[in-house]
Amino acid sequence: MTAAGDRAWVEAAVAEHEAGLLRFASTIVGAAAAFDVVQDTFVELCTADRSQVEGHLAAWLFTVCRNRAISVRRKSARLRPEEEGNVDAMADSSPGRAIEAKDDARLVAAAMLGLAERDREVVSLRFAGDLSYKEIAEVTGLSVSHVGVILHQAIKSVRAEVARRQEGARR
Amino acid sequence: MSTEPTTDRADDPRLTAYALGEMSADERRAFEAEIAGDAEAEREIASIAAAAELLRGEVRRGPDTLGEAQRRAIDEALAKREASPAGGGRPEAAPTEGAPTEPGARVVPITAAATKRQSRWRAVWIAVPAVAAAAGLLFVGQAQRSAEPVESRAVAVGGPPGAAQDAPMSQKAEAAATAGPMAPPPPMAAAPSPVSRSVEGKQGLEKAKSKADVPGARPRPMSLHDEADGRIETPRPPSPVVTEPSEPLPENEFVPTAKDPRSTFSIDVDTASYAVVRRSIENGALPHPSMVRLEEMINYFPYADPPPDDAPFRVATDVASAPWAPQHRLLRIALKGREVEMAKRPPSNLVFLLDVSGSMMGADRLGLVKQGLSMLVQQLDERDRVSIVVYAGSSGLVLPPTPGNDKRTILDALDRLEAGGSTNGGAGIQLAYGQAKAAFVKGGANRVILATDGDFNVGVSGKEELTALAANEAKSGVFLTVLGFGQGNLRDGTLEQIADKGNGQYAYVDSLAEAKKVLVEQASGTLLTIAKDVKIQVTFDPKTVQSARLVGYENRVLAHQDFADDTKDAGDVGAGHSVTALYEIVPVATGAGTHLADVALRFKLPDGATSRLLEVPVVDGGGSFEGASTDLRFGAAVAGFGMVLRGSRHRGDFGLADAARIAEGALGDDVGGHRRGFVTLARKAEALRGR
Repeated sequence: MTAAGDRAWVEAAVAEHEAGLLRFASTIVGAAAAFDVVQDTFVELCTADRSQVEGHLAAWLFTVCRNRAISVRRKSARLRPEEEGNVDAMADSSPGRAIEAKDDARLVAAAMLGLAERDREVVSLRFAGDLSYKEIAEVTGLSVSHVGVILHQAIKSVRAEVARRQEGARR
Repeated sequence: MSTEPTTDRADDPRLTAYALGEMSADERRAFEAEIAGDAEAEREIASIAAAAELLRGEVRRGPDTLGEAQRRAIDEALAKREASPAGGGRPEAAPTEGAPTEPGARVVPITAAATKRQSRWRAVWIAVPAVAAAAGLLFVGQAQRSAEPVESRAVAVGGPPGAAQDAPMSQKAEAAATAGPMAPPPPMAAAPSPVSRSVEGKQGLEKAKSKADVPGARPRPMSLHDEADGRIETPRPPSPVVTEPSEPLPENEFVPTAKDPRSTFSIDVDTASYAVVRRSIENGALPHPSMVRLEEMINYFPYADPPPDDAPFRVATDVASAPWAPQHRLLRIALKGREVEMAKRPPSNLVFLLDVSGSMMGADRLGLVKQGLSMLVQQLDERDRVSIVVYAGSSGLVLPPTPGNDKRTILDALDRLEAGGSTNGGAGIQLAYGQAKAAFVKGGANRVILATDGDFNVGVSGKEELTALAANEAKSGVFLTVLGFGQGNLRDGTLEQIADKGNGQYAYVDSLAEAKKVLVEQASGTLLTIAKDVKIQVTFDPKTVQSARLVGYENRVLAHQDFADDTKDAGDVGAGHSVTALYEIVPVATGAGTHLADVALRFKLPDGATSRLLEVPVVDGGGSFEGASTDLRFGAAVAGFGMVLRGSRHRGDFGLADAARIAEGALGDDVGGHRRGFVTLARKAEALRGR
């Protein structure tokens, strides 16, 4: 492979996946820290053996990104223990505020917060990253079937939550 | 399952898969047919699609473009890549973390990563070796072939021994988390698991040292991107996988009809031998002859014989000349079991008995067990019960009987399993049968599904004791499925005998495709036994047959008087199973219309005590091999392939290329592509033999 070909390859990967990776990383470490995490992910790609990555580029990128994000979050939790477990992109859309909000987006944000962390991650990989079930399984280590069940139930609980809150808002 | 009550419908994860466009064209068509006219399903799908759009909008509110600073950093890294001659930009010529393909790769990338890391990461990375050693970081030691995995790894990483003394333990998880896809962390919730496993880990490590091949451990999620051909990408050593050093059973010989016109044997629906042989060849080594059991290889493949209407079986016979000895006749006896749709099968009481000992670590073992059983669970419904018993040094119940529609609970329990420790198979078997009996469903499919590499090394571990245990438990009416996993220490023969004695069947699972074949394509056969103690007795006509030889079934041969003895155990047949037996016949005279033999078949219904009898005459149509049925030709190709591999003296000048050529001309419909796979395998074997 030529070096020039590699440059085009990395640049195409950045163009295709930067948005998905940034949004996904945001759900783990918050929007501010997501930029560094995604930068590290692509820097890692620059050192990777292309033949080992091609064919499953998306899963590779999201796995690296996820590992890095988890690591960064642990580190910041250790340095600032008072924020432990609360470094989350959704932190600004607390359930309290969402209940007051009328629009669907807020309701959905609140419902997302009600999901278990792992389920939220699967949802984010699917909808921010546009990954297939198979790719999500590869990134998370869950089975493909389990990914299917998690997504099904996560969507179901989001629907239920939205319905419940809309009901509450009308009264 | 389309007749389920509507409350169940909303729980079907296929609705979401459908709404999200995750189904293949085939799945989609089948699902659309299933839900045709189901207004509730349509409403659900529309509602799911709408909710998915809301979620998509929500998660996309985050940032979507990298800043100047990030782009510069990536550019710099790219410039370094371009400057490096290998294009890899690595100090070592190590494979990347992305998709490991070599066993040794597990150790190196951490080193490589450590040296290229920017300074802000360095403190973390230096901490890796000491922490890893302290915790007995299993997946590293497992990958090592050397006798001292931990020590040699510390050297490989090269961190100063004292550098990390003050590293807090909490960094260990981080080290695992930062290692890239090579060794991604367990899913978040389970991230600290390496610590909790470290005690058992020592045992696992001890055990691992003796293994030729323990590819990676828990931390690496399985890579499924190559599912096209179903192989799970795991590091595979080029070394042979001879695991069962025993001598092959002597081949069945020609028996002159003047001496004994009868031949009696028990049927066998095991298929493991073919998968074991395939794995060996794909690893670059011809299999040890003891691994080649011809009947299991032939019976691995589906055949086109039509299923019976009402009876449990249809028996068909077919005669042509033998491809390895054209002057001989080849008799094919084909049994086809009644097919039962998954939706119409009786309720199942399934106990998954899972080996979680140290030797089961790895994506091709416990990882594959989880994937495979998850696929099976997907097909269950509220009538079914699933329990999970695990065993390692000790055994325990990890999931009490749980309804088959509570998929989340079952899948969660499966996903939580981790491997570590020694193997006390005996205690696990006892506990599993205890569970199966406690939850016994009368008239249902009561079955223990054992998943193991069979390397029992604690407690009741003698082959005889284990088979006796299985034989004894089989009397309870609980059937057994043995799924063999892994290699290097797979106790192929032990597993085959446990299944044989335990009213069971044995399949070897080396890939996701294989798991799918056994647990999805043939799920009803795996779950539902339609007849037990199935025996065949062939009586040749001495006027037309000089001598005859049963091809394969060496360890299934019965004494003639056992044929009608209902106390004598024999093989079981599951719904839809095909069983083929081949005889090579030295004829006295040939020609269309020659009566060669009579085939008698005895079987019991699954809960019956007395056998029924079926009889079929065999008449030779006088046909050539080339003019024979597709199924006869394909079965003969597999038989010839096996005869060459086991060094049969009856093979004549038949070669592996002949097997490939004949099979290629006898693919038939080839549902599932298994026959095409055989052609490829035979070619590979031929290339290996040519070396």
